[in-house]
Amino acid sequence: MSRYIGISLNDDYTCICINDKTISTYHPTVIARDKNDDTWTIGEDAYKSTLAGSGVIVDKLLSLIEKNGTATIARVKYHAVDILAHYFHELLGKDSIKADEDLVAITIRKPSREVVVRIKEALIRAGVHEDNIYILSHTESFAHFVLDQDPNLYNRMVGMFELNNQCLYYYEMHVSRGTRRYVMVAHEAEEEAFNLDILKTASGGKIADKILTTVAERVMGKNYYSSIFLSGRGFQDTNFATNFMNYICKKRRVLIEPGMFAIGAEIYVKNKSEGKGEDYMILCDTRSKSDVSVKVVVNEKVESLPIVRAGEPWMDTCSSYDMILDDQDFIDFQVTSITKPQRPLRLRMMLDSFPERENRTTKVRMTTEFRDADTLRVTVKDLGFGDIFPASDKEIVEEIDLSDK
Amino acid sequence: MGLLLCNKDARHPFYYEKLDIDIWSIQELSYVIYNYPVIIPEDFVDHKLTTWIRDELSMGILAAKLEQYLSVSDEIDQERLIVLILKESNYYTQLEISRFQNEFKKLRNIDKHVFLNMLGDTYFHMGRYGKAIESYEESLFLNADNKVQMKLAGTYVTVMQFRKAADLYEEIYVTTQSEEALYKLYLINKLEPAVKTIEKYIDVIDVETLAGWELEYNNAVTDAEHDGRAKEIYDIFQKSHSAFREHAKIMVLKWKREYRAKL
Repeated sequence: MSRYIGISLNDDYTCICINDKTISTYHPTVIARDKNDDTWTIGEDAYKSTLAGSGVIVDKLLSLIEKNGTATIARVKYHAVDILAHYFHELLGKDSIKADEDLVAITIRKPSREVVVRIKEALIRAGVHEDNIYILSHTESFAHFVLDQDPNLYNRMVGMFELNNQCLYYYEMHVSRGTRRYVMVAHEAEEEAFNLDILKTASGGKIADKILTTVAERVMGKNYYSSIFLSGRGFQDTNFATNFMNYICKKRRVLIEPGMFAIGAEIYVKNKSEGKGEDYMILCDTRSKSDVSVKVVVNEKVESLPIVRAGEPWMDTCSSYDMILDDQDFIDFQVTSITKPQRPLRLRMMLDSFPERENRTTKVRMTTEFRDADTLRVTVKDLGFGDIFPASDKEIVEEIDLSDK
Repeated sequence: MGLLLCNKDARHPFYYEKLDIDIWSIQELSYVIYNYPVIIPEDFVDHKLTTWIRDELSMGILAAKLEQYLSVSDEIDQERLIVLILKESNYYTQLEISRFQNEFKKLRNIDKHVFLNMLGDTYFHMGRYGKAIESYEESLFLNADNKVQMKLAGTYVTVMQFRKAADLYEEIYVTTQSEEALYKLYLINKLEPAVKTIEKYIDVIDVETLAGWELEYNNAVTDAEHDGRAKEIYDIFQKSHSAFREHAKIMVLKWKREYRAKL
């Protein structure tokens, strides 16, 4: 049987959800290696082996992979990917559990291209098939989680507070039910984040309640919300936050799910494997927010060639097209933002530095790839025209800004 | 005007023997068909080409259509097949294809010596001088024509066969009293002083004409001296004689290779 696994990864804790979207479990994101043999333990067991003096611990694994750092244990130098591969291997119980196939979605706060590559490599080394790995942002996981709930909970705006150690984030999801149904999700870090240890005392709890209430009043204002979600280890118990809960519960439903990101990731991977399409186009930090197209001629008819479609994961979006310049030395792009479809942006990329040749004897290869969520890099290379007009191999690189300005 | 969308190039090219080039895409194939209709062989579209179109260009439908024509008819209408390739290539407009069809039809109905003359012109423009000489010679064998003789002589000059060129120009002059033939003989003597044919006819050229030719020749030499390639070689020579000798070796090899390619 296949396992659908959602893993939310941060430096403190890893939350994992396997096959059941109602259950998620937390483990400290630490790993220890036995001093004498190649035995690895993770989470609480790693702490235990370290306290017993038999293991050497490595923590802050996400930071380690972001920095592409190394850790030396018992005179052996491990790269971040090696350490994370061992961590995933133990976390997924690859030695003890015989699943036919694991489909794994990892969710992290800021998935950059480099970090995604390293996490994927670690998972592959841990025994997960390359095609079964997905990396999402927390924002996207939140969207998947909400969209899996009763539609009444997201018929308008949805808010979410995430509270973890030294980490307080506010998320907002806007729902549009026009001709193209989409949800736009974004998050912001709140400066008032605090250490969860203060919740251990009554006075600390009151301070935390005060902080959360102030933040909620500021970010929610007079907006109308269908529902408010609470996530993170800080909301495992909300008894300390009486005023905050009173404020957010006014005329709206509030749902608490500490393992929301891991569950959202698990929902995504399950839907993906079952071939379920998304009812709403998701626009967030890991998805493209605009359609980008180029006008091309096919059989004497002008057609629009889509290069990027809004809602596609930008990290997986790259394209390559060969085209022949027919009496023109430029490429026109049309960028249509989903949120402002009435004002498409037209951009022209000049190719006049390519060698001059007889008409229709300059072939170019246009490749596109996202540098980040808002920047599409376009590379156009002169291919000449076979052996008849040899290529100059000249390249022109330009970037298209897709941010909503 | 626009951007013509293309399929990816073939992994293995189609060798077009008549042009001695590799073809990598359906657009290149259309280009050579359209621009050099004279050299298209009578059995151009065959199973080798259709296999390449299907396997390398992944254009299975076009290949199937071509193969269907090839299999049903004993007398294959190449024009129909060639036009089909042009239509499917997303390279030429319908108007251009119609124009090509008319030209292609005309080509099939012209006299053999005219066809060979055109073939020679095509090879000459492509820089295939050896083949151009062959075509012009065959054309002249079928029908003597001074214009073709002039072209043949010009081609001999291009490949530096000055003696043969001079003999032809002399023949043309004797037959037609053409001043141009004399002018060419004069230039051949400048390029290759050992070929002295012009000396036989120097008395028939008036002084003014001779002065004009001299001036034209000198201007051409000056232009050549200021050519980028000549300047590059001169600069190397000025900088270091040993570097020049090394460079000269490479250049001579390159020129030899270029000369052989012309033939």
